[in-house]
Amino acid sequence: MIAADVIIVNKLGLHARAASRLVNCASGFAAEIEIVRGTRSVNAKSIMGVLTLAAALGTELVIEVDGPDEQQALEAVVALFQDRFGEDE
Amino acid sequence: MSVGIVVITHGTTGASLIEMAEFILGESMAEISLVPFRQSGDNITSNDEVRNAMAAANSGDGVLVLTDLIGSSPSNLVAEQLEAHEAVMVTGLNLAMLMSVWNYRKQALGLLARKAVESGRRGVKIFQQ
Repeated sequence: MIAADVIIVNKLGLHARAASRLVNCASGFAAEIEIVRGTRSVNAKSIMGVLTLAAALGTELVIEVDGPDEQQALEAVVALFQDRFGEDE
Repeated sequence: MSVGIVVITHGTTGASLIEMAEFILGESMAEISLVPFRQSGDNITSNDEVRNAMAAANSGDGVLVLTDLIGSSPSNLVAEQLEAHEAVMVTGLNLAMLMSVWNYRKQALGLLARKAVESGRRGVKIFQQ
């Protein structure tokens, strides 16, 4: 299992469309991907799981990935956060 | 083959939910059948419309019908038709339920119905300071 810290940097936070992009990205990998906020952890491949994090701008999260393609999966998910989910701000 | 999905709601509620779910998920949900249920005005929904939509949606793997309000006319009408169309109905449709059903639409009918209920409930929480 590998993990990385991320901070939400897009203005709208992990809103519905951003969550959808994250789920699409995560679902493309075989590895199990969990997103941790404090003591709560959700499946990154579940849209309702991701939305219930209710994570706004500035929220600190941990991405935990476990599986055969974990390195690629972690890089892809972290890149999505850093790219503000493709949003301008 | 997969489970047929039919959304039957009061008026345009279902169409609006589908439109917003398509926007959020970035995919067309054209394969979901939609019956806007009306009991007044010029276009009163017939029982046949509901029956026909359920029949057309069944390709052999059964039908999941999502309705907005338990105990209301559209839900009661669907409930009478469940056995004839190998259908399961889940009431209380909301955006969370619809998006999850779409994501799990290749699953079998029983699992799909359970996911619908689980996700619909999961999005209902109290937030306070």
